[in-house]
Amino acid sequence: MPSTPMTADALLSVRDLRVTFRLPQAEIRAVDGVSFDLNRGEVLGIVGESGSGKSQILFALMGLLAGNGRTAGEAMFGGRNLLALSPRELDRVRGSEMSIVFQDPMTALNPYKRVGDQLAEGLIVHRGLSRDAAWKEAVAMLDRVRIPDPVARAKAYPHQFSGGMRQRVMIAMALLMKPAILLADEPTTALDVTIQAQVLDLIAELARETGTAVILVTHDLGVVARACDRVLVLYGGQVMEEAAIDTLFDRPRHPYTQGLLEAMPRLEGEETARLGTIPGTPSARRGPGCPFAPRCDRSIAICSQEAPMLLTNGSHRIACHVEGADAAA
Amino acid sequence: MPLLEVDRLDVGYTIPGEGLLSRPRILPIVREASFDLDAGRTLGIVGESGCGKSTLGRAILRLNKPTGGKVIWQGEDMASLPAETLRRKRAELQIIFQDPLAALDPRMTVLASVTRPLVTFAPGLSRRDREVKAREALERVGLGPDFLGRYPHELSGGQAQRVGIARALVGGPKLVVCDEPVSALDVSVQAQVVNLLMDLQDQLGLALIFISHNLAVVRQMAHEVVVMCLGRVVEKAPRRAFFDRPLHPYSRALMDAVPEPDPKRERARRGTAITGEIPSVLNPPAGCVFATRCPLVQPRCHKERPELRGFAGGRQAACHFIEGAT
Repeated sequence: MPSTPMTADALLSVRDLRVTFRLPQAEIRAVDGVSFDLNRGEVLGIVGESGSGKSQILFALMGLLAGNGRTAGEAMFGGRNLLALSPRELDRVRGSEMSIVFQDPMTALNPYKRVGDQLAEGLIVHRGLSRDAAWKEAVAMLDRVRIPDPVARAKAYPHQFSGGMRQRVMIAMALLMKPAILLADEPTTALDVTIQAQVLDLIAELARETGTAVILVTHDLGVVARACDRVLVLYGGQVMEEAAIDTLFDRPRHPYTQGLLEAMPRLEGEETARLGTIPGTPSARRGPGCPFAPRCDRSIAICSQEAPMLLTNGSHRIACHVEGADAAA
Repeated sequence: MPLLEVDRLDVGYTIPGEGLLSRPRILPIVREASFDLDAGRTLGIVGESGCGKSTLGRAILRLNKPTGGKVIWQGEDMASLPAETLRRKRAELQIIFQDPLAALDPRMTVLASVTRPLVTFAPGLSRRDREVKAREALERVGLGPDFLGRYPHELSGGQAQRVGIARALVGGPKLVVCDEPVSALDVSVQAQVVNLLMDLQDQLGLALIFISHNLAVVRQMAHEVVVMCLGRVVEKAPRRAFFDRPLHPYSRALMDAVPEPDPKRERARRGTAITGEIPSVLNPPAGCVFATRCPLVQPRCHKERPELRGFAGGRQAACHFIEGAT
């Protein structure tokens, strides 16, 4: 891990994270040596296509991997390695210091319990509040995430909420414990654009106000530009590029990032007759080289033989034999 | 004569009545939608979930029966066609769906799926000739001979959508309704399918109705744009004029909400998202469909529904407060 200098003040330091799934015939390397730091109050985006391993990073941090999943590496948070905690220790961290919001807010809520009760439960269990005090705090948090008429809505059931309101309830629930870290897995993918904009703005604003650090996993570079401070571009379980968002969008260096940006249709700017394309489809099969090499139009011999190191150039990091060499020269 | 004329089309679904003994009622989903479409052109239909865009697309093919208004195909009222004629006509009007895997029979090979429509559309053809046509259609969408024997579970999402497109093309359609055809695909694959649809349109002179919640994709594909909100068309305009300056406050709100891969633009837009929820179709507002969320709302908007009015450059919009109606 020589390419990633340790930052002393990082809230969470992930080093060489690996997630593998054992199948009857094979072993899938879903996350393949990912390292990054997360700072206080920062919104870090992890962007990638299907199979990039972006969600598995979050599941590994929360101890939520499927039964056949194994982790290796290190995730240091408050002096502990999250990947080595006992289930009991992990339970204490989850919900109070670290929370997660999922893509589908309906399946994450209990349909038989009033929303206020579901919110209050965590406060009663983790912080030992009385039912009344917990309920009051739950209502205040619903107001905070801009649920209209929170006193009445706390008494409603999940099906009585729209999709956007349910996701705001999930965010309220995640933030009730004032966690140091909020993990969000495609939190707006199921929402309409107008509602998505509200929810993304809310996440960015809460991060700024409360100092909660956020990891936002998404497939949409537009979402990254709207809500994040910094971004990791993931492909085939590996980090291809990492930069502050202005740097990444102004000067994308990795051929994959460049390809993704050219493939995106735009609302503004010049019209193009045809979109840029990346040939082929994201694939789970992987050789020893750069995971993107089979689809990369700039690949050279070494790309399919050896995985590129993630090289640092200031705060810009890139893993590419072709582009990385340019930077070093 | 346009290829397709949609004239004040209403589409609704029958739902149970309120009381125990009350009769079923019709829940209107699309109301008074009108537009024309010519060969070789793409009409983009955009709007949020529940706005009726898919229902409208399906009603054009009579997959839903309209409850009012007309769909006129090459001068003929679709409602007047006998069922058998309509079935044959569908060779000319085809559809592709959002979830390409769900749209394919898991027990049919790629070749069988693409051959199947010809049993209905070209009953005179021999089995062998049908397969030749199916191979041609698959070739057109970039799927070579090694895909013919595959089953849907052996395909990626992009490949499955290409099979869906080949199946729509095999009968030689003039119009293809594309219902969110790239929404379920990864960005890199989405671009391939968008380009393919544009190439096919150029080669075959297809008319496309492109239904999408993604305004950026519509800008790439469409010649003309229709914006729907809660079942109503609120704006209709040529692409360039629309994206340069949308007239309706709802169109502007949609455009502002779409996140672009441009941090400077997005920072300027943080905190500007319109507030409020999308009203229920079960209980639509009495006046303007956007009144409950519109930043420019006036008392009049809650009482009086604005009609579509014409503006310069062949544009139409339904808002009381846009200046310069022609």
